[in-house]
Amino acid sequence: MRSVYFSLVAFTVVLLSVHAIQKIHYDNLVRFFRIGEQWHEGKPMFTANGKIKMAQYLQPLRHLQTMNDTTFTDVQYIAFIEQLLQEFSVHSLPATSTANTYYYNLLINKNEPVTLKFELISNGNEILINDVQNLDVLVQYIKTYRQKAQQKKVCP
Amino acid sequence: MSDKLVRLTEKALPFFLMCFSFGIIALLLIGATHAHANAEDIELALIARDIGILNSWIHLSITYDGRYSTNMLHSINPLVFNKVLWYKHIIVFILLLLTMAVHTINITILDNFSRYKRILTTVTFVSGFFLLNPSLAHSLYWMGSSFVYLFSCIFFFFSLAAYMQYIKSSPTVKKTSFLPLALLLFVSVGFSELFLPVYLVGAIFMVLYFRKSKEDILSYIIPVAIVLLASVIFMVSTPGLGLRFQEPIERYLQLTVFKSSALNYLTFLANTVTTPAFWLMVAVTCYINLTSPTQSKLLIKSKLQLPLAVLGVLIALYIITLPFYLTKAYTGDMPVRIYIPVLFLLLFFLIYILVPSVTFHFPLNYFPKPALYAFLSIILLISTYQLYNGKGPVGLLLSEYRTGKIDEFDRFMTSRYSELQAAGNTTDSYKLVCVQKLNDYPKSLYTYPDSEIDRHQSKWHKFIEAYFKIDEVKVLGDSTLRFTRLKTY
Repeated sequence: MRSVYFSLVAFTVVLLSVHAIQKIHYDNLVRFFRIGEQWHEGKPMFTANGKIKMAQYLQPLRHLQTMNDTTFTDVQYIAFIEQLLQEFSVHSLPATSTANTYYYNLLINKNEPVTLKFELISNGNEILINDVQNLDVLVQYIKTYRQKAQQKKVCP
Repeated sequence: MSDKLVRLTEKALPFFLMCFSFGIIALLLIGATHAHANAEDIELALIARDIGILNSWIHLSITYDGRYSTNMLHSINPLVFNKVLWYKHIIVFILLLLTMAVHTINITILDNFSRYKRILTTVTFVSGFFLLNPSLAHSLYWMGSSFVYLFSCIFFFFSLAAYMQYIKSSPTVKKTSFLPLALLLFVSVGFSELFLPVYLVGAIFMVLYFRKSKEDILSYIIPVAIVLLASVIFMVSTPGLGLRFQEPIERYLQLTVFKSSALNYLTFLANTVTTPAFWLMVAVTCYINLTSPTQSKLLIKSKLQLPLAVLGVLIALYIITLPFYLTKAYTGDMPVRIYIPVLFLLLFFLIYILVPSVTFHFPLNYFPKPALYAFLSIILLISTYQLYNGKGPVGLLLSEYRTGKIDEFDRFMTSRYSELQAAGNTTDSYKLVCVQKLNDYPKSLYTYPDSEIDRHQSKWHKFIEAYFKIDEVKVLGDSTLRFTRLKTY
């Protein structure tokens, strides 16, 4: 009888551990959604460093060349990232996350998988984006695509 | 009927019944060998391939639906390992697994029946289940759907059989078999929320049933009930399932939701009992039970309890459909897929409990052999005729096979996936693949989503592109360009 109850305890412990892992990942995801809430509340979404990096990443796109990072608002940057995610990310949610870093799998023709990596910083109740690594790869991809001949982009 | 004819029918009928049932299963196997993955199967396999099995399982269980066992199957299947053309093997495996589950339950419940009759019951159940099925695509040929709606049925049978074996085993065996049983029950609960009421009621019922028996049995039953309760709580508290309850409670508890669910349920029942295949199953089960010297182990011993049991089961089956309606506040057309487990449980009750109980209380003198054989022969002929004329889901499969639609679909999809795989393996700087639109596909075998004529219309292109590592997949005639929305920004 003891072995049955020992198995039951082991089973419960495993179940609780798995649930805890799920909860950690879920809470992490909810934290990421907080950026979206800040967007709607008109609160900042980027650190100063994050905005400088965004401006650098987006420079190669022709229609952004005339803009400078001071006139480009957080909302505009977020909207741009949102559009890039719609175009490139496999799913609308980050595939994985660890502490302050979130990874989106990207649809780019490379032998090695490319991920968009969001680095966040907490500032009180606010979550700020400090960097979006590999955004430059996407921007370069768009630029290259636009420079391609039309016949290479449509079916014969 | 003369005595000679009765004896001849008695000998010939089992043979024809076997041929009919095996014929249906053979037809389903032929369908399986022509099945192909749709874009959603590819989407789910892609996650596990790119982020790993464990990460994928966690991701799906917290963001997709919380069906943790289904999520695990999405993370481990041949598609995850880039074997998209192995899809048909998966479907063959699922069909064999279902047959095995039904046979396992037969060995457990009908262990005193002859081997021949157990096999006949197995093939009758499997063939009857698909003859009455609301959708072959949703129950069998669409892997993603089958993982939810058919695997929950398959594992219900496996866990029920394991539980019954556990009950009758010696204390020593119970000690060693508890952990495998606990794991099996845990896995079984995690396929579909539709079965949660079944397992919850089962856990309570097993404790109440054994409360007056010897104390040592109850002490072995309580841990099983705890495992079931813990698994149900685990499933309900998995964040992915909780995401479906984001709306205010008033939205779910609308009268129109209950009205829609009740109407759909009654329509399903009416459709089922007016199909000849239903009466064929009843007649075959009557025949098997009336001509066997022994009985099923799940008899209702009191005549008075029979109508109550029927009423109770019909109400319970309706309750099973409610999680679907309530989580979505659903008021639309009949969602055929949720009636797959309902049908399965209805047939389980019919074949293993109701008909054996009725034949136990009203033996052969109430059902004269000639009348039974005549009814069975006529209903078998009607079912065969309907099948031949393309009626019902299996009839549709047969007619689509006979017209060559299934072969054509198989060639089309094999060629498409081979082309995509080949393109993915090239080193071109920009991989554009133009595919033909899938216009006329066999409805018995396949269901959307697929690539759209305008790539901006849906997300499904993305998954196909990511899975095959291609920059762009276009349907012929699609002249849209990428990143057009970014221009206006």
